[in-house]
Amino acid sequence: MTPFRAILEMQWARARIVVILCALIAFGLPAYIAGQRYVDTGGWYGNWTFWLETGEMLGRGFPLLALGLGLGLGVLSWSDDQRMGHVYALTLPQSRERYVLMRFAAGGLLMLIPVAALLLGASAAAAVVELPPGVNAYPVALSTRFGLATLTCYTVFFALAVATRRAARLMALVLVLLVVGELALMMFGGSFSLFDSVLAGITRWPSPFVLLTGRWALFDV
Amino acid sequence: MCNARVARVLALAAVIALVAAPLRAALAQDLATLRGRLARARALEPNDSESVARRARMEGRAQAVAARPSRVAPPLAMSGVEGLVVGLRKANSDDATAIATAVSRAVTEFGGFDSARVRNIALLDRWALVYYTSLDTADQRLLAGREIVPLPEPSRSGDEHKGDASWRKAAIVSGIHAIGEVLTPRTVRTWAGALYVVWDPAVENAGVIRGMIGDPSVPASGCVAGVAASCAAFLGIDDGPDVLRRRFPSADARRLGVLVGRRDAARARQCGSGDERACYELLARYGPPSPSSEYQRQSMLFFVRDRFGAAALRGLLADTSTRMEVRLRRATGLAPAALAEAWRSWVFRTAHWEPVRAGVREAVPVVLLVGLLLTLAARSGRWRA
Repeated sequence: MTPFRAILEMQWARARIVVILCALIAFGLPAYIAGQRYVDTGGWYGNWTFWLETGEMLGRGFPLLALGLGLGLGVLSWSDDQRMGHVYALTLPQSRERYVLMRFAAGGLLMLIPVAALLLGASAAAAVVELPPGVNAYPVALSTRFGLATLTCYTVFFALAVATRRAARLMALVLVLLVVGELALMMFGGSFSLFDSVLAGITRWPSPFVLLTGRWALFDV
Repeated sequence: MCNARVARVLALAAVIALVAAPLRAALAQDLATLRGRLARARALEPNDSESVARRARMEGRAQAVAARPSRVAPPLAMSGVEGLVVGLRKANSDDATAIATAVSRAVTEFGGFDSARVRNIALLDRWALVYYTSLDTADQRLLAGREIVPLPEPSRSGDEHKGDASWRKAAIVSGIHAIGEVLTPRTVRTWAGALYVVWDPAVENAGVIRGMIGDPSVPASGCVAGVAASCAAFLGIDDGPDVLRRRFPSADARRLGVLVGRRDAARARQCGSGDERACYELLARYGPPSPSSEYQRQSMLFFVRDRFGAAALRGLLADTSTRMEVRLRRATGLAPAALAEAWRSWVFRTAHWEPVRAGVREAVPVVLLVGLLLTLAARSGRWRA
């Protein structure tokens, strides 16, 4: 058995519940959104607006799902090593760089399962639902965005989970400074908000986290 | 063990930061949706004389309530700012000053009105913004000679609102809307309702688009698909013969004719049974000017201000024509279809309304982030710490 296959099997054993659950949600959510098209809310205007608004609202579940999947895979990628004190990694005839890459690639492969489930579910939903004129379905774009958003979250949590104590202390210090700075600004009555500025910064292009914001509607203009 | 705990705490902090971003965007969208629905409901109200009379009765009642002495002697706050009097129950003078300043600034900056006129007539001499049940006899004396604009009490009242930013904001918004209501000329008000005055295109125009997509009328669908003539019909700014049939093609006319025909049951029955003539008669008499809502039509006014400047909007409001398409043509110099096409493009652009996207532009930052974090992770593994 190759080291990569062993790592993949270990990560599958750890993360399969998360992966299967996310894959089921990713497959079912588009069908649920499409099904809302046939809910009768009692009026010609109400039916359409209900569907589009519900679809848009439910679509916000996709970035949350990407976040949850990325968090689960990122943290679980290192759970065995953390439990065993990294003994397994030290016994392998592999460089550390290679070992990290194999861990990351194994999680990335598992991540593809929910992405593929979303592509399948969204394509099926788009094929069966009747669309109003001017409205289109975007199963491929939605799945790709979901994949990129999941990859972003997965990478961040993967790196956080293996961060050194020094890096962890540094990040904690940054967070504390942010809170203290915000409190100081509030105490002196300043209208500038550090939190708002940081949030605005990470949710605007070229920040990769911009993928988590914006529109996630499967059916749109 | 300790390291794992640190990792979990860091992950939690990152989750909070990441979750906050989509929720923040969602809240703004919800607000626009609610306003769109409200405007839509208003647009579908029958436009007959009884409704107008009922509205007048309600306004009269509100005036009477406003004029009734309060059992609790309220400290009336009178601000010196621009001479505006604001009657606020249990509000301190700082609140009143802040509200008066913000209202004055917003209306002046709006640019849709002659700012001198607003300052001299609206704010200095004529108006008092008054919250219901907040007046006693002393207040009445102060308000003598001023037109009372009754305002709904913002949702939070009592001592708790003192210095409360959200309460103050609600008071400012309702004050601005009240002024917009008084200043909007009758023709414009019939077409687009009272001006909101403050219009944030990113939020409001998203509501305009959402309503348009959800509207199954033929002009709305055509406008969504990008047909300029459909947009003109949707907004009700097209001209020429048979405008009613263009704005409400037969299927839409039957559907809407029955809906607005509550005041004429016999004709509504005829319309319902397929008599198109009856449907168009009902629409001409009781129907809205076009399939769009007042809220959607109002976006056109803000487009005029944005694209052609405040002077163009002032000209439009001061124009004496009773037809909106004529006012718009004079103010912008554009034919209806060209104007509607430009409006559509402005609405979509300013609302940042674009379908879900995942291209190279989105992928490049992700690839860079992955490369950077993987490099860091590979160079500083936990077992080396």
